[in-house]
Amino acid sequence: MRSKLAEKLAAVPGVEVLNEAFFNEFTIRVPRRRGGVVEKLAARGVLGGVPASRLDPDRPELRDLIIVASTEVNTDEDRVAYAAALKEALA
Amino acid sequence: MNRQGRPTEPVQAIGAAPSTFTGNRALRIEEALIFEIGRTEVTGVDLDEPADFEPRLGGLERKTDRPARPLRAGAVRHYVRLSRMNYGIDTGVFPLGSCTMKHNPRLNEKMARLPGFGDIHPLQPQSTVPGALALIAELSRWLCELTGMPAVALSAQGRRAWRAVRHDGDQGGARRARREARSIVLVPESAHGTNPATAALLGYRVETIPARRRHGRSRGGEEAPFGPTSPPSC
Repeated sequence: MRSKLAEKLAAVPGVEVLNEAFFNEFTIRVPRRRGGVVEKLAARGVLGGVPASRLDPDRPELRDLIIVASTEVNTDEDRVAYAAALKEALA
Repeated sequence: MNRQGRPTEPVQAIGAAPSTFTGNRALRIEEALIFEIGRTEVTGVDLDEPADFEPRLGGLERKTDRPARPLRAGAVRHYVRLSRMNYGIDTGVFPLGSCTMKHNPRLNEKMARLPGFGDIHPLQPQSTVPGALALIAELSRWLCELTGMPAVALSAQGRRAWRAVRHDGDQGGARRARREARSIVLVPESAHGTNPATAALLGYRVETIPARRRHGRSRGGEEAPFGPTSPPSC
């Protein structure tokens, strides 16, 4: 179930899933967008995760990473909506 | 050795349960863990078999037998028994400590659980929580007015978090080395004792704000951190 979201996001052009193994959280690398990808997702009604830079603002290498969680409360529809919104946000 | 009180080892806990035909243990308060009751070949909840999927747990999938579990009724009874051991606002008063239960009326609990507040993730984009930010701004204004302080930090809810804001790792020497101008922590007389204790331990000078007869504070507004005891903080 959880790997479904990672697979869907990995299929979005420009997105890379960094974790080989995970339980319910994984990290993706996304191309930078003005205003931030997470904000763009929020504007589309999707809370897409936590920008890693928010946890450690002093490390520039974290700027294009997003930590994503998916659990049993997320539905297949949620996962499809996330991937579609991410694709739009990065277009 | 003092052998009174609840047995802490699982085997002891199970052994303490009297064997009865129904399994009911009446007034015996010892309760085994959920994994210590039931059997491995039954389940309390019927779930559909999941479709085929490839786990990505890095080889950490369970390879041993699954833990024992009770049937549905057994699980319900287990948690009901636990709930009856709980001490809450409905069963007695809290003279000190456990402030959440001591002070919070049910109405406050209900308001805090409104979806717009209760469902917020602390790290979600700030642009998505304007209502909560408005509430924080309004509460901050009230607290500034009440205490006479120039600013407040609502990020520190619990006492432990309050320490983290100003004190953690900040021993007196480090504070002086940083030429930290503020060296006094104002603590209301009614605050939990660990608040001034923490401040003193970390090199601050504690000044007590005595309570007035009518529960007011008799001083405030100094250039110092002021750690009031908020309902969820002790």
